[in-house]
Amino acid sequence: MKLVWKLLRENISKAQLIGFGFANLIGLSIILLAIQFYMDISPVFSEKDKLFKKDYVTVSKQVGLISGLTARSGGFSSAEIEDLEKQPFVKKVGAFTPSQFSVFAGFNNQNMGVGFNTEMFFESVPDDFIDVKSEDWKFSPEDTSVPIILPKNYLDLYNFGFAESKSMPKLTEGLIGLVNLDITIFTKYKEPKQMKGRIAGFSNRINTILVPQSFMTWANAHYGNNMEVHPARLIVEISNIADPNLDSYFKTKGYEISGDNTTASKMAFFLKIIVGIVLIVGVVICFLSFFVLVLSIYLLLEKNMSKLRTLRLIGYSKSYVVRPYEILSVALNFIILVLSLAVVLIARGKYLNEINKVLTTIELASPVCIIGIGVGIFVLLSLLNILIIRRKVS
Amino acid sequence: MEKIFLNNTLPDIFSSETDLRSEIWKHNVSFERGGRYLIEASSGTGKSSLCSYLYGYRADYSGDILFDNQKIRDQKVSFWDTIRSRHLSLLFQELCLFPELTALENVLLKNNLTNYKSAAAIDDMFDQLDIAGKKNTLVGKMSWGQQQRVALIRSLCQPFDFIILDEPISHLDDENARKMAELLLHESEEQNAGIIVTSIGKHLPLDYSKVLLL
Repeated sequence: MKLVWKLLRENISKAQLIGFGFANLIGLSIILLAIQFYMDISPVFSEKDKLFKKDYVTVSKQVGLISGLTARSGGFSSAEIEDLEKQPFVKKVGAFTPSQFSVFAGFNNQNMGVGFNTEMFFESVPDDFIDVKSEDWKFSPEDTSVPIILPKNYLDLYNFGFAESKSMPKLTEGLIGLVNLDITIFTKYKEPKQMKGRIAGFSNRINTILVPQSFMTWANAHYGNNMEVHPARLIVEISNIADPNLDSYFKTKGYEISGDNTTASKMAFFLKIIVGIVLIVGVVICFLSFFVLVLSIYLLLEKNMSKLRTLRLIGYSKSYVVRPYEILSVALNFIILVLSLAVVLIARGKYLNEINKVLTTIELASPVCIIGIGVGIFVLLSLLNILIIRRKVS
Repeated sequence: MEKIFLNNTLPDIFSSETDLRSEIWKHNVSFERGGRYLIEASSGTGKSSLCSYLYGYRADYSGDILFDNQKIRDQKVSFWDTIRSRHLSLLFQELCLFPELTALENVLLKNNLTNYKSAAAIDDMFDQLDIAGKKNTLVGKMSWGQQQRVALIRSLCQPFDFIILDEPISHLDDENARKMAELLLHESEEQNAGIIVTSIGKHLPLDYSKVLLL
């Protein structure tokens, strides 16, 4: 082998091989880095991460001019709900049940000598959708009191808006929990019903005055007008908030989504586009550098063709005489694989530092996958090289 | 391999010629193992073509060539690898040595493949042909006559049933031709091999069993 190698290594152009190596290193590094970056960053956009943990959205129909003027219900029909449930990004759909009776709530404290009353409304959603976990959250018809969940916004509005400006004391959730409300339910047909209301918690997720579903079913049956009402709002649990289809689905249906979680889906979409562009650039560079290698090996083979032919004539097998070239190209490819993996891991360390400054806990994708992809590209390129060399030498 | 048989063989280039006076082309000729054959030729009668047909790197002929009973046309590459390193040796007219290697390296290039000769045996052959002093000289710097001797040593560094020598002594004096013939005879008798020599003028001095006109 030594003598054959001595013969065939003449005419090897170092400049060409370095050129190939450099170009391929850049191409492969770009490809691997883009994939690794995508794998590292994509959990941020999917539900696994805390940043976008709010994977519930509230869906309502847009209030148009005509529908706004008429009191007719513009709620969701059961067909529309079914269609929504079928969407791949939807996990669960729950309907908001409105109260079909009038409610007055009041707060009267004889000791303090203050009191107020207001007309209000209740809504309920299935218990699974509620983010407040409370032992208290139940109702049976014998009970004389009903738990209520208020939006956290209300408390914030009072504490940080009203109380702040009027120099009034701020209220904590615990303190408010001690307050009992007087609730009166009115209907056209029956005697008003007096009940007590207690505040069971504050919800970040649902922006309404909530009572338990069981209470609502009972109260609507007893005091309601027994009309079939379409729910005006739906609460939807989303399986992947980053799904780009989500935004377009709601847009075409003319639904409004509360909260601005769909930014995540837009960002994920753009991330995909950008990573895609970078990947294509990497692939193109890799491809070109591959051609540089093939051309330079072709040139080398061409220059050494008479030697190869003579070696073949004195009895050397084809696989033997092409082996130096195969070893050369595979070794080059391997060196480039190792270097590019090193580049990717170093660059990854740097960008993870930056990312960790913004996001505290991101779940890291293991670099094993990227090593696998790198090895895959290495094997593919090497096999192609070997194939081309073997076809060139007859 | 016991027999090389030419069955009505004719190079394509002669296909239109009518006054062919050859004892080989268009004839049935067989070369037996152990025989010594001299093929006398004038230039342009297809001497090197014959060698290249027999060595499997050209096939532009009509008719057939058979090794024993096997047609050699369209044989696989691996067939020729075995033939060229185990059964048939060829001393090329153009020698096919590597000028950038030394004489010894050129010989070793073959011997490393076949592992047929010991280092001492190779040294002996260099001695016998009077080029022991040139062993480590680059072949590119040697005269053609010296190169012919190196090429002979290389062609003997393998087992063979037949050895073909294409104008082996064109640049050698009679004394050197005799030494070469002696070495060749000794080696081929050891293997009971057939010898086929071509010549356009000077003949390698051997006791030929058959002389054919190409």
